[in-house]
Amino acid sequence: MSKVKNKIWNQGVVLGVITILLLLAGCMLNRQFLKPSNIANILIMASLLGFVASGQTLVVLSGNDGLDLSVGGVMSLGAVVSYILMNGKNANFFVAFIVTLILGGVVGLCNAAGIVIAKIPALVMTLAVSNALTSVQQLLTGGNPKGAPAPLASRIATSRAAAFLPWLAVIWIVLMAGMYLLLSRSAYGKQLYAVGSNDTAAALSGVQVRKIRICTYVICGVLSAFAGFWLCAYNGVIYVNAGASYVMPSVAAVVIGGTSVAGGKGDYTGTVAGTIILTIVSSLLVMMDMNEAGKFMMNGIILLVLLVIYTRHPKIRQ
Amino acid sequence: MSRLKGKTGYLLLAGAIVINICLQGMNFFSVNSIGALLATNLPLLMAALAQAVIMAAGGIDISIGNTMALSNGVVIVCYNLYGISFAGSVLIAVLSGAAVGLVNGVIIACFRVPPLLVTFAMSTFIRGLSLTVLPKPGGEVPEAVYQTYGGTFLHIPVPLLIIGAAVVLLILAGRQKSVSHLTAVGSSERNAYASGVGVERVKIIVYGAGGMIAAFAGICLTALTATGDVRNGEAFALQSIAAVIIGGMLGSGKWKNYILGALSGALFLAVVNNIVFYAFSCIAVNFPGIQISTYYQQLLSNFIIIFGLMSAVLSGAKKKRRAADV
Repeated sequence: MSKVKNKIWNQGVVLGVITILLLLAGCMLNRQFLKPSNIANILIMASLLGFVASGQTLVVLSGNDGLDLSVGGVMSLGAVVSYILMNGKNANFFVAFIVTLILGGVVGLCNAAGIVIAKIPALVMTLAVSNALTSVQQLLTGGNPKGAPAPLASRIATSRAAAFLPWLAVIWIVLMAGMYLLLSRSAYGKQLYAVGSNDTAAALSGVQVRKIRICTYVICGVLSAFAGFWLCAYNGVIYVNAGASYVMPSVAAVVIGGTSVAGGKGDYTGTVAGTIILTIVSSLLVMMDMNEAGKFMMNGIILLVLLVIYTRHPKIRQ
Repeated sequence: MSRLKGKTGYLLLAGAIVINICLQGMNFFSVNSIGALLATNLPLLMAALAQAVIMAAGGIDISIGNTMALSNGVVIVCYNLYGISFAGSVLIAVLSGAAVGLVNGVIIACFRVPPLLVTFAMSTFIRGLSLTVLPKPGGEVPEAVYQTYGGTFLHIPVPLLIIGAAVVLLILAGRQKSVSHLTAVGSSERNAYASGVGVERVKIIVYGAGGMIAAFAGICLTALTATGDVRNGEAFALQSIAAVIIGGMLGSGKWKNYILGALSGALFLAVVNNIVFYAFSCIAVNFPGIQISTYYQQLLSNFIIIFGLMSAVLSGAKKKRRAADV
């Protein structure tokens, strides 16, 4: 037991050291890097990624090669829908918010139907759904979304509670607390870990495996749509597939955070660390004035290195 | 139901072809029509073959689409910028594809990282690499190349010859001992290891071969579009995986089944796009008043693909009910 604890602790230390090193590197590159406004910007970007990665964490934890590549599609759909529905009026804030979340849940249900009931591999089903969502967005908007976020939403998404603490990060902290309670205190969380580590054993001990998996994909859909709502509020201008660039980082954040891709092991705290590391890296790359191609290559290399460090399986003969 | 097991790919394809004939008439069988269908979809067919080889060994490769894009970029740049002959450029592109595959294979086999994540990360890297190779769409290929690609040889469409040759070669390769090692690794890594198969070596070679075939798919794409655009390839990753799954041969353990299944799955996807196109043009001809956005076409073919996935997996997996399905 102590060995396991040690390992988790070690991982926490490694993640912390990487974060500090990255911050120092940023500071050396540019003195402005540690200014409160820049930290706040990084935190806003990290919050948006953190929202998406929270759903992804649950899906990966549920095991059975669980992976949701439609988070970007759901996020984009959520952003487009809330953009159209809010139409720049505060009065529409809550309607847009609720409709967005419900839509996310519905897409999650579609994913779950394909993955849990028809047993399509999660990767393929969610990619297919994500493609379908692109068409849906184009149909909804004719390729050119018209609308605006409510002023209230934009204010929340862009202003700060304290010098370096944006309101979005406050929402993220609340979400972290929620995820902590969900994963370690609720019956759902315990059953999720059980399903993820061994679904047969879980089923034999009376866990409704399918129900848990379906719930997981629905929650992931809702959380991605939630991220989409805030993406719309933060960006102000939304285009079709605005959230597509969040898919890969969301998976990466979960993996870097130490959640096992085989399921059943890991938590949201790791994902939060992974999210922050990835965001700092990408803002460093922006600061270094790297072109698009260079950014892709750096991202790929960083991810490969982290994968090699974190997700090595034991040798076959062991 | 048990007779249907593993044959859904053929059934779906047959059904799709029947519907296509209904919409298009007997013209479907004309050399022109088949030639055009195959010429448009040859990159997809080759990508599906690449994916089938990898999935037969129990892996998966998401970077295939980007490998195709890279090979497209490499061919165009070598031919246009460096003045290498077209054949030489093709060779370099195939080698670059093989290199990408080998890197994938080495990381997956030696560092034992899940293939899904490795190829995911690699696809980002390769996207950047191909953007570096060919930052802006452009360039051209010799006229003879796309003339031949779209033409016929002895009244047989050239794309049909290419895909036929590829399938025959792959199936003949199945007689090699190393390919039986490959399917053994695909069925159970542990058992293969226990019976003395060099699992790591097999995996590296498999990903290398997959990368090579993917690069070849990229060259078909180049011949089809007659220009270079590295943003063209990305969609093929999903489609190739979908094709293999719709083929319905996953877990069959037979090499020939994987190849033919992937082929029928990819052809199903191709015919579906054809059907959707003809269905919408039928509506446009018969009801001139109705305007339908082309977005509906994409949406419809997406839904048909999801349906195909569901039916393929449902018919294959019924027998394997476990306690976990409660």
